[in-house]
Amino acid sequence: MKDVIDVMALQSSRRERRLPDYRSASGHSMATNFIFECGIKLGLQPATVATAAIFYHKFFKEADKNDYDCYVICTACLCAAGKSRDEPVRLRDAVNVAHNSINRGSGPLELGDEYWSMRGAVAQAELLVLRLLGFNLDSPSTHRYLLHYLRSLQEWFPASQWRTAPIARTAMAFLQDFHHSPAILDYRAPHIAVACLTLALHVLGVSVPLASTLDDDAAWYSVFTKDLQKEKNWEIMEKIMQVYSREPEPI
Amino acid sequence: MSGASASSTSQSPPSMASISDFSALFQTAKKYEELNVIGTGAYGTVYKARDLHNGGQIVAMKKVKVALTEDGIPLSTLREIALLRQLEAYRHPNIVRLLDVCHGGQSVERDHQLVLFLVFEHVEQDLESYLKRAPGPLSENRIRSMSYDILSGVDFLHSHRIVHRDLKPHNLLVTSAGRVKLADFGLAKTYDTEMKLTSVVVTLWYRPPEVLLGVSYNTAVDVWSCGCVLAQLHTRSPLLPGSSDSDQLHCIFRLIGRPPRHEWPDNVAIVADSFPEYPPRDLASVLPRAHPHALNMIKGMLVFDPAKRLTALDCLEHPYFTEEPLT
Repeated sequence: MKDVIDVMALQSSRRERRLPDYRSASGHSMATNFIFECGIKLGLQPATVATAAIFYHKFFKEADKNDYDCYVICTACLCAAGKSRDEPVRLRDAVNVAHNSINRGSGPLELGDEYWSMRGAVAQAELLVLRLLGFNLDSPSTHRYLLHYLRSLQEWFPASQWRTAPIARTAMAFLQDFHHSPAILDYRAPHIAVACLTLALHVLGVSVPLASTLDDDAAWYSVFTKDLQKEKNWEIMEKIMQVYSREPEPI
Repeated sequence: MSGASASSTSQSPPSMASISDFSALFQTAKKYEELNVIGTGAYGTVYKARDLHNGGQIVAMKKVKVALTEDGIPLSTLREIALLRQLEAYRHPNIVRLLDVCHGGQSVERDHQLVLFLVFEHVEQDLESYLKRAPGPLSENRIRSMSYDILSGVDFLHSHRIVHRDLKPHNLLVTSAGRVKLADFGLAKTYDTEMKLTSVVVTLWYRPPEVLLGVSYNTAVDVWSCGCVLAQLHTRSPLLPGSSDSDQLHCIFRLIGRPPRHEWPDNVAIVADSFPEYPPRDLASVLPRAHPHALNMIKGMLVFDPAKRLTALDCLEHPYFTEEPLT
């Protein structure tokens, strides 16, 4: 029985190794990965995790990255985003998840000095984030725009074609991943949604039915948003693609 | 691990340690200079202050104390302030401007309290003092435009799912140009926790029957309060000056009549029969100088059953405002 490959163990060890090591990551290079990982572990909705990432980018647009502990601020952003979207996170859960993600394999924190100082830091950082954002916690609801566009487009596609190409999944994944980039702050929600959708169609090699009969084959999205020029759309798509050429995650 | 510096360099591992120099950020450049106390309301102190960054513009700063919970700032407070911020984007002419939100955070951890300063535009007087100072009765046009201002503000709040709950001349501000702006809304829950701690007498005169009876309520409460305020614009004295909860109900029923039994809400501790069978009074005898349209509209606002009351939007479309153009 020696030769049997333990597939499960291999897979899980591979998965383990794919997780980023925040301790050895330099500066803020893993900050958004940390937000996404903790957000998922805390069971938050994708749009709430995305809001946390937006808070993070906004925060460090104003503040100096060297002045604050990256992961304290990230955890605080998750807490603030949870509250602003009516999906509150227990502070204790947030602290434990953050601690466990940084110190992989360690158990939950004892209720000791380390726990209380971390908890205090996150609670303080949450107030700081709120203050720096000036309590403007309005999230741009890009996910809703994209969902609305996808639903409209679905009606327009032949059902068989829609089923074979994972357009919705791909576009949503692009949107979520785009939140790794601070460039997400530079564009309006409907424009980002259209760019994610266009990019997904290009990647999957799918074209919108009858779009080629239009004078301008990109004009199909003018029903969604009127003021998005072709160049601007490409610009956003390029920014989205740049997310994937960031430093590769350690494997 | 505690006590490590907040700056994380690329060499040192992320520490998640307490951040010591938060106070530095709280103190960055003094932005407002406190001048004097304007008033101490049920919800905290309001200061007059000078905005040092904006050419010494005079502002009103409302100090609100928020009790921090185990999970930091309470969700309701956070959402309400965020909502106020969101509303600000519309710059509605009949809503007082919210210019800034600051927090003074030095003693946050010690007493589990957060002191927030809401910075509003400063308006010289409120409707209460305006009516007191008026040399004589207000002109028909003045009353009509002020009524319209108040109702526009209320309709705006209602369309954003906000119930003011405490409309009264004291928190209606009158600008030097004679426009009315609503203040003191939106922090209902935040204020509620605070109200238990202060013993300031809250006026009952603008409270609708459903609130006095302790049954559920909705946006119609504000329409009732508006009705009382609009009547007061005509007479310059409160319409229903009750001295206690039950006296307030007596005042109301003396004016609009005791409601029929089938309209009396269920699950109320007080029975309809505990009030004498007051007949309704003619509003025209109470507000002798008012225009018939105004009387008709106010009558529609002071209806016992909240569901049968006019809405703020109904009022704005009432002939009182539409028949002749507003000046």
